[in-house]
Amino acid sequence: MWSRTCFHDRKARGHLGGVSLNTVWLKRWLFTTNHKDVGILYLVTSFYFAFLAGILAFLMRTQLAFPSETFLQPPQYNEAVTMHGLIMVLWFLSPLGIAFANYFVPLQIGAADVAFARLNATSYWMYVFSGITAFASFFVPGGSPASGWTNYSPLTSLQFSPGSGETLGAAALIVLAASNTVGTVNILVTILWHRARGVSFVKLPMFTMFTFWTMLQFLWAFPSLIAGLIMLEADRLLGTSFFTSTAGGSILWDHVWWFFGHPEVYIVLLPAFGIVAGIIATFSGRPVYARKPLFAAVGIVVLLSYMVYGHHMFLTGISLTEREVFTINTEMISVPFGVLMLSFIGTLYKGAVKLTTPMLFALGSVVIFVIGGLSGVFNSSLALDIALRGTYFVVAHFHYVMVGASEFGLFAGIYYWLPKMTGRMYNETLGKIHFILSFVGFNLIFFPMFFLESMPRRIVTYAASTGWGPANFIATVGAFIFIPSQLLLVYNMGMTLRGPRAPANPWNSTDREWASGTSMPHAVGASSHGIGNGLGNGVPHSASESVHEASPLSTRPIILCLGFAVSMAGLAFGLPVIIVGLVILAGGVVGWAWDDYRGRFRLPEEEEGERWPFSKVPKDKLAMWTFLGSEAVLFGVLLGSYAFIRVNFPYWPAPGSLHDINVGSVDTIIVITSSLTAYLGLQSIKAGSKRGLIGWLGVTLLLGILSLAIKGSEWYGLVQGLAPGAQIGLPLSSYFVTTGIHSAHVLAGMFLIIYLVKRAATGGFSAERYGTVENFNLYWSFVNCVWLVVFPLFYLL
Amino acid sequence: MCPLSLNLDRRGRSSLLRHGLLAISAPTADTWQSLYDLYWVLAVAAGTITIGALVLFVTKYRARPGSSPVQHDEDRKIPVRTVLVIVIVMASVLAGAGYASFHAIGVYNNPPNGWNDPNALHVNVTGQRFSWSFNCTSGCGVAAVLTVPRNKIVILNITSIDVFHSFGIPDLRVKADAIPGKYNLIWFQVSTAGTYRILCYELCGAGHAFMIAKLVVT
Repeated sequence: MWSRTCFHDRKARGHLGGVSLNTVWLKRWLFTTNHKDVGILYLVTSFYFAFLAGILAFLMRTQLAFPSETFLQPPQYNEAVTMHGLIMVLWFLSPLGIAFANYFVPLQIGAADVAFARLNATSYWMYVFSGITAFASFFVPGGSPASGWTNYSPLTSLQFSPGSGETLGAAALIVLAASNTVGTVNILVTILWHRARGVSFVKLPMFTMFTFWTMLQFLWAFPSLIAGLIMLEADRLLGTSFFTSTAGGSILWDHVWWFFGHPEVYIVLLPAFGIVAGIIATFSGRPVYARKPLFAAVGIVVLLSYMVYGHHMFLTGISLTEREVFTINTEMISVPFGVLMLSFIGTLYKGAVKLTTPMLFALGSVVIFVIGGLSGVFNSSLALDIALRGTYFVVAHFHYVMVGASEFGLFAGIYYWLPKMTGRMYNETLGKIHFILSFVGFNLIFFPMFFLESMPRRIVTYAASTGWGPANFIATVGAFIFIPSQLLLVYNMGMTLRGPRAPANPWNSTDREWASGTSMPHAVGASSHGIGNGLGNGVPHSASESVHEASPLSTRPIILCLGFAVSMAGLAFGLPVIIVGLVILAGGVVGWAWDDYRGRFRLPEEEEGERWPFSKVPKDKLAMWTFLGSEAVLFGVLLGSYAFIRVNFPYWPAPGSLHDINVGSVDTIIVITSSLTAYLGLQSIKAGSKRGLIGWLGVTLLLGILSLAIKGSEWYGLVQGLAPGAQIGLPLSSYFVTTGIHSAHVLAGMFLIIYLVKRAATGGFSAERYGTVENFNLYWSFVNCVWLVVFPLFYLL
Repeated sequence: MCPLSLNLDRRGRSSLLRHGLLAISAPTADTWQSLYDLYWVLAVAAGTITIGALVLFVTKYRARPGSSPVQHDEDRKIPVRTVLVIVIVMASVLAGAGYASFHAIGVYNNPPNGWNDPNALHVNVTGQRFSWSFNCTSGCGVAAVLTVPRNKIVILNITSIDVFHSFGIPDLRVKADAIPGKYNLIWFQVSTAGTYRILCYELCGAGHAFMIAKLVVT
């Protein structure tokens, strides 16, 4: 059914040569840029975080087993409940999906690697360091964040959460969100631009297709989180009042959080369902039923997912019309999911169903999703939600969807692809025992919670007179079965490395990741030389019939990410830490640029494949457009917050009273001019004039400096006018944060100009090679366009 | 408790036996319970059909030695009709459920004599970490206890002075978020004398579990 003419798994197929040397082994895993290696790293790391968050769950269920227990104190319980949620959703479930995306999307579409190998390593290391930062918050005075994974304001404000844990936790989330944005751009461009010949868009394998849609959610949901966290950090560190004022406050946070938070639940679900769809087809021996409607249904889910988040706010006092619209949207999102179920179950029809471990987990995922999805319909009702909001009914519902449907689906993927990833077979009996214990344990934990529809969430204990005891006891019994039984999976994975050799295509799958067989554990890119300078061109370790290429190593991503994470953690630990972080970060960035400048990090050119609908667009430009798509949401949320505050704040100063319109106008003219000069630079190099390019870039840089200087003087004047120690009012809070983030973008653009000038001076650009200049122009124009929206909103209206 | 073990109360409406107590008669609770029962019936029906089909297909089409999956010629075609049927049936059922919800929210949004009813008992409810306080002209409450007469329409105006709380009386199926700077109205009317729990339904800090008050209906 697939056209395989041009498909090879063009990955290295050596053996782990030189593994005996520990330093080589270490260098390989620290500096790898290979998509399979990064996938493995993601997988192992996400399991580590799941283990930590699982322990927290264990503690909570122990505390709740009986009424009036005192095993945990309330602050400890609140920390556990908060970190359990955050870690499981953001550091386990979605990264596990990303792990598979890293490993299998390139294989399924016949690409040599992801689009940007070093960026891939970058997103991984940001993820690792963000997780470490998050866990570090347990050890700072006052403990970790303890306001629930939703971080509802104003509980997260400095007044009610004075410890630095909240600051550190939010910093960790910013790093994680940045990691996801980088990874998203990468995988989206990979899917759009790196398909082998014959892999047209509609023929994408199930997992890749679901991943594609998921990435669109990552792209547009996470900027909202970043914007919210920046405002929160500004409140906590700089004294702004976004979430402490009543005009912004709880409702503003709700909007910003749930615009991210609800799509996030589909982000963890959809990759799992992509795996489930593929597995059901494989083990039924049938093609996926209703494939194209399925494709469309997932797209509709993605679209609707941004329009349903209001069901988290039914009781906040939003208008009846809003509640009705959100009720309808939420109920209607069940319809595409109905099509998904039709497709999954229809695939079984008249098949030859083999109940292997992956199939059991996939079917278990579907069964649990049906229950979880149907309970979600209850929560979509603006009337039923009155009693169900904030209760264990909700806890049951989202665990059915997130743990049941997502995690079971992802586990199915682990068993399914273990032979591919290791070249060996796992223990089937052990796998089935793992499934049975998980399925029974899971339902024991969460099904009784549907009948705790009056018990509030996140309470540390309850009185016996409430009658909640028995259901809680059953749930704890379930947890004591479910949580330890996950060790079986870890054990089984470990033993697989010594298991019997897997056949080339153990499941007789028609998906193309199996076309290259299972003989090889992973691509080996490490070699013992050339690491010190950020470059290591691997040596082929063994010949094979497929085209071999080794992935180069790079020390830059890990350094860059370490610096970024340290500087963000510095928000909680003070200026010296920030400075140290920025120095490390600068080291990584400069080293990276240096590698580029010297042409040290080169990936082989890929042969042309399917690139519809972007066959005419260069890869870097596509990535820039994708990135700007997420930036647009970031500024959109910031400006939306401005609009929200403005509507709700009764004392907004008149235009001209806070900001000088003349100064702002001059600044705006400078900004517009700098777009023009940047464009003239691009035109110069297109005409072959290197000196023209450098000249115009120099002028652009000067204009940028001028514009920043004007803003700096405006800021200086405004800060002088502030009463020391007092909270900054809403109009200035919004102004400082919005223009501050904008100025940071301008600053980043200026660093880009310096890089471009340096490269241009050594003949890096010509009339044929000007892509980077063009991408810079895109970025610069975007940033300037943002200013054209900011200026009238803050200065003129 | 099985949600389908419906009991009929004095007015012949369905409601559940909960926690060993007799069903409470309050318009909000009755309305909510009927809607909840309706959703349960629909959910159990839909769940049975879906999971039933899955289990049926898995058992019926289990791979046996020598059996091979049937390949249809129409595998490549889009099953337009089946998909349309699913979409239309689901959309209609959900629209019906949504309509029932809109009807029910009407009860919550419309106290019998309006929100400004002079004969109703108006109470200002304030959440603070970690207690509820009640304030009304006729001295309806002391800290942590709200006392109201039987059959009286009670209108609560709920807010918070510190963080996000959520005020709920689970037995009456009423709840509203208590948010600094916002005032949310709810109403109830109980015909059964007794004591009811008032709880906080949004994490508000270390004392969240203990932010409990009592409603006494005399």
